[in-house]
Amino acid sequence: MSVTDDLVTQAGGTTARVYAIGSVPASPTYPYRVIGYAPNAPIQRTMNAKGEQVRRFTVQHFGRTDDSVEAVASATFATFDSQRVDGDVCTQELASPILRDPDNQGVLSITHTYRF
Amino acid sequence: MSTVRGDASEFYDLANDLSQVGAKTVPLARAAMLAAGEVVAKAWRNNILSESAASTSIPHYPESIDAELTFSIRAITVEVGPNKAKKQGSLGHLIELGTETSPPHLHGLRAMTDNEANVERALDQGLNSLFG
Repeated sequence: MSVTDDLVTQAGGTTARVYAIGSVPASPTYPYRVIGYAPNAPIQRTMNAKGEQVRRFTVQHFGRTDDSVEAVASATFATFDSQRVDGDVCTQELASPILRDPDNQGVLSITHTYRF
Repeated sequence: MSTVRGDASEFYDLANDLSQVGAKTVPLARAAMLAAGEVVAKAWRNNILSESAASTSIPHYPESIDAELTFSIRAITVEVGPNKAKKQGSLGHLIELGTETSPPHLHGLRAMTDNEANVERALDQGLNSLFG
Protein backbone atom coordinates (compact mmCIF):
# COMPACT_ATOMS: atom_id res chain seq x y z
CA MET A 1 0.00 0.00 0.00
CA SER A 2 1.21 3.50 -0.80
CA VAL A 3 1.38 6.26 1.80
CA THR A 4 -1.59 7.88 0.07
CA ASP A 5 -3.59 4.68 0.44
CA ASP A 6 -2.64 4.55 4.14
CA LEU A 7 -3.81 8.13 4.63
CA VAL A 8 -7.09 7.46 2.84
CA THR A 9 -7.67 4.37 4.98
CA GLN A 10 -6.82 6.22 8.20
CA ALA A 11 -9.37 8.91 7.30
CA GLY A 12 -12.12 6.35 6.75
CA GLY A 13 -11.66 5.17 3.17
CA THR A 14 -14.17 5.29 0.37
CA THR A 15 -17.04 4.31 2.68
CA ALA A 16 -16.49 7.67 4.38
CA ARG A 17 -16.12 9.26 0.93
CA VAL A 18 -12.40 9.84 1.28
CA TYR A 19 -10.50 9.45 -1.98
CA ALA A 20 -6.93 9.61 -3.17
CA ILE A 21 -6.21 12.42 -5.58
CA GLY A 22 -7.08 11.25 -9.09
CA SER A 23 -9.49 8.60 -7.79
CA VAL A 24 -12.60 10.66 -7.20
CA PRO A 25 -15.75 9.20 -8.84
CA ALA A 26 -17.07 11.09 -11.83
CA SER A 27 -20.16 12.21 -9.92
CA PRO A 28 -19.20 12.19 -6.25
CA THR A 29 -21.70 12.49 -3.43
CA TYR A 30 -21.14 15.52 -1.20
CA PRO A 31 -19.48 16.05 1.15
CA TYR A 32 -16.30 14.24 0.25
CA ARG A 33 -12.58 14.51 0.84
CA VAL A 34 -9.53 14.22 -1.42
CA ILE A 35 -6.08 13.40 -0.07
CA GLY A 36 -2.85 14.15 -1.90
CA TYR A 37 0.58 13.23 -0.56
CA ALA A 38 3.79 15.20 -1.22
CA PRO A 39 6.83 13.17 -0.25
CA ASN A 40 9.27 15.87 -1.32
CA ALA A 41 8.49 18.47 1.32
CA PRO A 42 11.67 20.32 2.33
CA ILE A 43 14.11 18.78 4.73
CA GLN A 44 14.45 20.76 7.95
CA ARG A 45 18.19 20.96 8.52
CA THR A 46 20.09 21.74 11.67
CA MET A 47 23.26 23.84 11.79
CA ASN A 48 25.40 20.76 11.10
CA ALA A 49 23.40 20.06 7.94
CA LYS A 50 21.69 17.01 9.40
CA GLY A 51 17.97 16.71 9.24
CA GLU A 52 14.97 14.53 8.72
CA GLN A 53 12.66 14.43 5.78
CA VAL A 54 9.39 16.14 6.60
CA ARG A 55 6.43 14.90 4.61
CA ARG A 56 3.32 16.84 3.73
CA PHE A 57 -0.15 15.92 2.58
CA THR A 58 -3.19 17.93 1.64
CA VAL A 59 -6.83 17.20 2.37
CA GLN A 60 -9.46 18.99 0.30
CA HIS A 61 -12.98 18.97 1.69
CA PHE A 62 -15.88 19.65 -0.68
CA GLY A 63 -19.51 20.18 0.20
CA ARG A 64 -22.70 21.92 -0.77
CA THR A 65 -23.41 23.45 2.65
CA ASP A 66 -21.14 25.12 5.16
CA ASP A 67 -22.26 22.73 7.89
CA SER A 68 -21.29 19.66 5.90
CA VAL A 69 -17.91 20.94 4.82
CA GLU A 70 -17.11 22.09 8.36
CA ALA A 71 -18.08 18.67 9.72
CA VAL A 72 -15.78 16.72 7.42
CA ALA A 73 -12.96 19.20 8.03
CA SER A 74 -13.35 18.69 11.78
CA ALA A 75 -13.29 14.93 11.28
CA THR A 76 -10.05 15.22 9.32
CA PHE A 77 -8.47 17.36 12.01
CA ALA A 78 -9.44 14.83 14.69
CA THR A 79 -8.06 11.99 12.59
CA PHE A 80 -4.65 13.45 11.85
CA ASP A 81 -3.62 16.32 14.12
CA SER A 82 -1.30 15.10 16.90
CA GLN A 83 -1.81 11.52 15.77
CA ARG A 84 0.71 9.00 14.49
CA VAL A 85 0.85 8.75 10.72
CA ASP A 86 3.15 6.23 9.05
CA GLY A 87 5.34 6.11 12.14
CA ASP A 88 5.63 9.86 12.77
CA VAL A 89 3.57 12.39 14.67
CA CYS A 90 1.40 14.45 12.35
CA THR A 91 0.48 18.10 12.89
CA GLN A 92 -1.78 20.42 11.00
CA GLU A 93 0.06 23.12 9.10
CA LEU A 94 -2.58 25.16 7.27
CA ALA A 95 -6.36 25.39 7.30
CA SER A 96 -8.10 27.58 4.77
CA PRO A 97 -11.38 29.34 5.41
CA ILE A 98 -14.45 28.06 3.58
CA LEU A 99 -14.07 29.07 -0.05
CA ARG A 100 -16.81 29.14 -2.67
CA ASP A 101 -16.05 28.31 -6.28
CA PRO A 102 -18.37 30.49 -8.38
CA ASP A 103 -17.29 28.71 -11.56
CA ASN A 104 -18.34 25.34 -10.19
CA GLN A 105 -21.95 25.79 -9.07
CA GLY A 106 -20.87 27.36 -5.81
CA VAL A 107 -19.19 24.27 -4.37
CA LEU A 108 -17.70 25.03 -0.96
CA SER A 109 -14.27 23.84 0.05
CA ILE A 110 -11.80 23.84 2.90
CA THR A 111 -8.20 22.82 2.34
CA HIS A 112 -5.93 21.49 5.08
CA THR A 113 -2.25 20.68 4.93
CA TYR A 114 -0.51 18.40 7.44
CA ARG A 115 3.14 17.55 8.01
CA PHE A 116 4.62 14.46 9.55
CA MET B 1 30.13 49.95 54.49
CA SER B 2 32.13 49.97 51.33
CA THR B 3 31.54 51.89 48.20
CA VAL B 4 32.67 50.88 44.78
CA ARG B 5 33.23 53.65 42.35
CA GLY B 6 33.70 53.13 38.66
CA ASP B 7 33.39 54.68 35.28
CA ALA B 8 29.69 54.60 34.35
CA SER B 9 30.05 56.46 31.10
CA GLU B 10 29.51 53.32 29.02
CA PHE B 11 26.33 52.62 30.93
CA TYR B 12 25.06 56.13 30.20
CA ASP B 13 26.11 55.79 26.57
CA LEU B 14 24.09 52.60 26.36
CA ALA B 15 21.09 54.26 28.00
CA ASN B 16 21.33 57.08 25.48
CA ASP B 17 21.62 54.60 22.64
CA LEU B 18 18.54 52.76 23.82
CA SER B 19 16.59 55.98 23.98
CA GLN B 20 17.30 56.39 20.27
CA VAL B 21 16.20 52.88 19.42
CA GLY B 22 12.51 53.61 19.44
CA ALA B 23 12.70 56.31 16.82
CA LYS B 24 14.98 54.25 14.59
CA THR B 25 13.16 50.97 15.01
CA VAL B 26 10.01 51.62 13.03
CA PRO B 27 11.56 52.53 9.65
CA LEU B 28 14.20 49.83 10.00
CA ALA B 29 11.64 47.22 11.00
CA ARG B 30 9.48 48.21 8.03
CA ALA B 31 12.42 47.85 5.67
CA ALA B 32 13.39 44.52 7.22
CA MET B 33 9.84 43.19 6.99
CA LEU B 34 9.56 44.27 3.36
CA ALA B 35 12.89 42.59 2.55
CA ALA B 36 11.68 39.39 4.21
CA GLY B 37 8.43 39.61 2.26
CA GLU B 38 10.32 40.06 -1.00
CA VAL B 39 12.29 36.88 -0.27
CA VAL B 40 9.06 34.90 0.00
CA ALA B 41 7.44 36.63 -2.99
CA LYS B 42 10.42 35.82 -5.20
CA ALA B 43 10.39 32.16 -4.10
CA TRP B 44 6.60 32.06 -4.67
CA ARG B 45 7.05 33.36 -8.24
CA ASN B 46 9.86 30.87 -8.86
CA ASN B 47 7.68 28.00 -7.65
CA ILE B 48 5.00 28.98 -10.17
CA LEU B 49 7.48 29.39 -13.00
CA SER B 50 9.04 26.01 -12.25
CA GLU B 51 5.82 24.38 -13.41
CA SER B 52 5.82 24.26 -17.17
CA ALA B 53 2.04 24.64 -17.47
CA ALA B 54 2.26 28.07 -15.85
CA SER B 55 3.72 29.73 -18.92
CA THR B 56 0.73 28.84 -21.09
CA SER B 57 -2.29 28.74 -18.79
CA ILE B 58 -1.46 31.44 -16.25
CA PRO B 59 1.21 33.62 -17.90
CA HIS B 60 0.41 36.74 -15.85
CA TYR B 61 -0.10 35.05 -12.49
CA PRO B 62 3.58 35.03 -11.42
CA GLU B 63 3.80 38.80 -11.77
CA SER B 64 0.75 39.23 -9.55
CA ILE B 65 2.71 37.91 -6.57
CA ASP B 66 3.99 40.83 -4.55
CA ALA B 67 4.85 41.92 -1.03
CA GLU B 68 3.13 44.91 0.53
CA LEU B 69 3.57 46.50 3.92
CA THR B 70 0.42 47.17 5.86
CA PHE B 71 0.38 49.70 8.62
CA SER B 72 -1.29 49.86 11.96
CA ILE B 73 -0.47 51.51 15.25
CA ARG B 74 0.71 48.35 16.98
CA ALA B 75 2.05 46.13 14.22
CA ILE B 76 4.21 46.07 11.15
CA THR B 77 2.91 43.48 8.75
CA VAL B 78 3.92 42.41 5.30
CA GLU B 79 1.35 40.72 3.10
CA VAL B 80 2.77 38.40 0.47
CA GLY B 81 0.69 36.80 -2.24
CA PRO B 82 -1.36 37.32 -5.36
CA ASN B 83 -2.44 40.94 -5.74
CA LYS B 84 -6.02 40.92 -6.99
CA ALA B 85 -5.47 44.29 -8.65
CA LYS B 86 -2.98 42.67 -11.01
CA LYS B 87 -3.69 40.39 -13.98
CA GLN B 88 -4.72 36.87 -12.91
CA GLY B 89 -4.12 37.77 -9.26
CA SER B 90 -7.73 36.88 -8.49
CA LEU B 91 -6.93 33.26 -9.36
CA GLY B 92 -4.66 33.04 -6.33
CA HIS B 93 -6.76 31.05 -3.90
CA LEU B 94 -7.93 28.66 -6.64
CA ILE B 95 -4.35 27.90 -7.66
CA GLU B 96 -2.88 27.83 -4.18
CA LEU B 97 -5.59 25.74 -2.50
CA GLY B 98 -7.01 23.86 -5.49
CA THR B 99 -10.53 23.22 -6.71
CA GLU B 100 -12.60 20.14 -7.43
CA THR B 101 -10.81 19.79 -10.74
CA SER B 102 -7.31 20.89 -9.80
CA PRO B 103 -5.02 20.00 -6.90
CA PRO B 104 -3.59 22.50 -4.40
CA HIS B 105 -0.29 23.81 -5.77
CA LEU B 106 0.87 25.39 -2.49
CA HIS B 107 3.35 27.68 -4.28
CA GLY B 108 3.13 30.15 -1.42
CA LEU B 109 3.17 27.70 1.45
CA ARG B 110 6.22 25.98 -0.02
CA ALA B 111 7.90 29.34 -0.59
CA MET B 112 7.37 30.21 3.06
CA THR B 113 8.54 26.93 4.55
CA ASP B 114 11.48 26.57 2.16
CA ASN B 115 12.72 30.06 3.02
CA GLU B 116 12.32 30.30 6.76
CA ALA B 117 16.10 30.65 7.18
CA ASN B 118 16.32 33.31 4.44
CA VAL B 119 13.48 35.28 6.02
CA GLU B 120 15.19 35.16 9.40
CA ARG B 121 18.42 36.32 7.77
CA ALA B 122 16.70 39.25 6.06
CA LEU B 123 15.09 40.32 9.33
CA ASP B 124 18.33 39.86 11.22
CA GLN B 125 20.32 41.94 8.74
CA GLY B 126 17.73 44.67 8.73
CA LEU B 127 17.48 44.95 12.49
CA ASN B 128 21.18 44.47 13.24
CA SER B 129 21.93 48.00 12.11
CA LEU B 130 19.96 49.26 15.09
CA PHE B 131 22.74 48.15 17.39
CA GLY B 132 25.63 48.17 14.92
